[in-house]
Amino acid sequence: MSKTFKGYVRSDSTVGTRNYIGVVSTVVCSSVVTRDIAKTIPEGIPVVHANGCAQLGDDFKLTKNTLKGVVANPNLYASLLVGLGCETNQVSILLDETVESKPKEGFSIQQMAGGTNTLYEGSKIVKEWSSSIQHLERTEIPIKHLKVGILPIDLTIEDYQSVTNTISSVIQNLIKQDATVVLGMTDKMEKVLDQIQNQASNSNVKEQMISLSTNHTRHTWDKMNPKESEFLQYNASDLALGEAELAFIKGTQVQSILKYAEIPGESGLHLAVMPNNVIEGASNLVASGCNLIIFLTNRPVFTGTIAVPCMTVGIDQNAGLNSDMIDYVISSATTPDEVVNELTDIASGKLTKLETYKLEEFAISHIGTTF
Amino acid sequence: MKTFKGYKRANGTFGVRNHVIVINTVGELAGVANKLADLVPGVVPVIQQGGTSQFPEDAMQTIRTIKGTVGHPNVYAALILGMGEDDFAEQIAVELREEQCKVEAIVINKNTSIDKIFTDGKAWLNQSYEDSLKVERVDVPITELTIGLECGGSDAWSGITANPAIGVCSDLIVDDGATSILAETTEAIGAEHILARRAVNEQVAKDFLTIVKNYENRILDTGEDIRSANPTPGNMAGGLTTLEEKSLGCIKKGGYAPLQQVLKYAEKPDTKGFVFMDTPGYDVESVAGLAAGGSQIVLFSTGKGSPTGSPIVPVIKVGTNPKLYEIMSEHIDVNAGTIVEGKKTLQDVGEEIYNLVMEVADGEKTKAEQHRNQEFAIWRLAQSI
Amino acid sequence: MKVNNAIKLHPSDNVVVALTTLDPGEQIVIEEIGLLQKVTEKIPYGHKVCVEVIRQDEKILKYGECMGIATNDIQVGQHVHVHNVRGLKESERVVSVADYA
Repeated sequence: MSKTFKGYVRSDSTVGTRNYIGVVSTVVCSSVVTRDIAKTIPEGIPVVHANGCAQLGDDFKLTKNTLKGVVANPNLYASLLVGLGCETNQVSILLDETVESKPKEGFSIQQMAGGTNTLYEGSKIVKEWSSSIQHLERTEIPIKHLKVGILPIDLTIEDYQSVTNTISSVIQNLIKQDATVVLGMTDKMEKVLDQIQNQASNSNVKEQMISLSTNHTRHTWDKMNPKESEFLQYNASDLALGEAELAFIKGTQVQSILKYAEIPGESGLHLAVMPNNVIEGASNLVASGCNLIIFLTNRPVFTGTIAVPCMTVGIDQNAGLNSDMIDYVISSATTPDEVVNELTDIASGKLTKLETYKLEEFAISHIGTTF
Repeated sequence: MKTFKGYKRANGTFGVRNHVIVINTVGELAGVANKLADLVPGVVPVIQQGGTSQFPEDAMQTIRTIKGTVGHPNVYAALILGMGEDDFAEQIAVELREEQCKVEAIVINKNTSIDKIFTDGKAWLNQSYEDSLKVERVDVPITELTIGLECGGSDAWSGITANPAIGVCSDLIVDDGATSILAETTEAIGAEHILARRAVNEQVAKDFLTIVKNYENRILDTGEDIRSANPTPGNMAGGLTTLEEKSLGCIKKGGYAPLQQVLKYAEKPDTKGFVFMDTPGYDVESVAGLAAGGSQIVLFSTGKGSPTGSPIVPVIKVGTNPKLYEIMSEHIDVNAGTIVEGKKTLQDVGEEIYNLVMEVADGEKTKAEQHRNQEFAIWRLAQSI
Repeated sequence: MKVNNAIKLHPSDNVVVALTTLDPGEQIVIEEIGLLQKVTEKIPYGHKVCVEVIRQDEKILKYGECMGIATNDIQVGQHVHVHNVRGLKESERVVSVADYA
């Protein structure tokens, strides 16, 4: 059964589930004016964060890649980059490196000689873009254009087990229709990845699975304090949690392991290394190109992320879950079709609770310290 | 005894502002905190994105910074939003209430309705804000003042005009018996031996050299060598000859006073006088640390122009060159470019800054405050787990 | 009243910084300490000029501190920069107990 949803087809053939104009700050110093520019149009979303300066090496690269990924996300029609001017993360360089397939512009506060001028010039540009997207309409499109990120949040073993059949069927359903699924891994799931190495699509992926299960992937930045690095120990119940998450994808081929903000190269199932910090995790999924995100949780989640609808799927074992913030409650009895139907409704424009409350945050992960 | 007009707090500290703030302990509540601040005009949101999934030392620093911000003398009252059993919102609230600070914690669990958070939160903030308007300023001895020193967007003039002028002001403050905190450990690399020689004893000198060494090692780990990479070709074209000179130009914000103590990030000094805090060169993180460590006002030199401020402390911007003031006066409070023009001396501008510090302490708003620049970020010591 | 065209950051300094580009023969003007020497070379703005003779291996003093070591003899009025100054060696950056304030 081939399903469809109604999305915005972009010139690079990716499909958005929403239609936004991004105002992206390259550094925290331009965050205020970025927000002000975004407010001048209804489709404006500010992409603000705390990074962009005093960064070196891989940490700096990650900040750039995350922002590049956001600009490339199918839910953004266009992006205006706004910087300060003296930051490590230069607007002109980032602008050159972002995708060519969409309208984009960029400048800095210092270049524009102050916040007032920047706001004035910035609003002119985004208003023009805003008027040119008024005619854009959703078209019916096969589900293979969905890129669904799944983020399990604070689940217990019982939670996982109660919905394993449903979730794994949903994942398989999506993959059969050629969609892309990015499953965010908890650090515990990383530790048991070697158990599914035979599901790797190639030897590279297999090696990464083995490496993740044996090595430390979270770092402190002070070598003077070795105790910190030894802090991460995984006991039997941790590993059991990891295995419970693994059960969602037993038998499904894994196309790749994504590091933070990495974009999947093809459809199918991808596993993403994720921080346990919800905002960072969801933001990484946006940068990876997801056009819909599922929060799989047993509690209300109080923020979504920018640009991409976050569907909160609640596992309610004790029927005590407050449903203000939950889009869809699932149990072992829920059929995968029901979930996919809800998913496609949201992809086609139905607002999630988090979107209704306008709770949207963005954060870039750090893999090194600031200087 | 010189005085300024400030707000007396029950724990014996004095503020130059009377803010009501809402702050989140974990990043997930950032949006909710922002919305609550929107509901009550005048309330200041203090938003950070960490607070969860952190290594222990990193978590401790985050908690210390949040506690220092919530219990800050410029804060009349604070609402902390937390969630889950392990949240530290309640712990901070309890500890600060022992000092008579007005702090309320709302800790959310899986049964909390979001409408209740907004209703309860708004009610508490509304009441606190109205109460805050009734508090009057009193005469405060200048010895209760702490200023933080920062530079961002430096240019070739920073070390010639704004920084040494800030140094003149810093020395005046220290002579008054008050406190001045220099920061940005990155910038001390190259002249650390000079600052260490000004330490009041061997231990303080050792502490300082240790934090600089650790900093340099972290940089070396990324493959960069700050000693050989600096001064850059751009610096040299601008007149900087040696790394020592470049670094001296930065640390001169601290004037010539002896170094009393070396502080961790967001740690409060237990002495008056000139001290140094271990912070990154990243402006917003550094200012957040200076504020959490007790600075009521921050002096910030800039050559290229920076609009950033802080949610709880007035940040006074000192521009290094005349052109900057010409094109970006909306963000600059003091024009040290008059030194470049030969019209004023370092002493003149230093005193100008000092006088403005007193006026700002009494209530005059800085440009950053007028534009509502309330940027905030906490220095991280490790990756999120 | 002449407007200053250079700045001396500390009384004990042996260099001053040009506030505007100075041409050879031009007089350094720092009102507060009286008129000083003439420059013998072109000094770009922001750059240093020598105001007391500095012999090779002696300290360049700026902000009252040693900011480098002369690699040649430097005469009054000459440009002081990378061609006649070097940074300190590790051994020269020693902190000893006797130095404490």
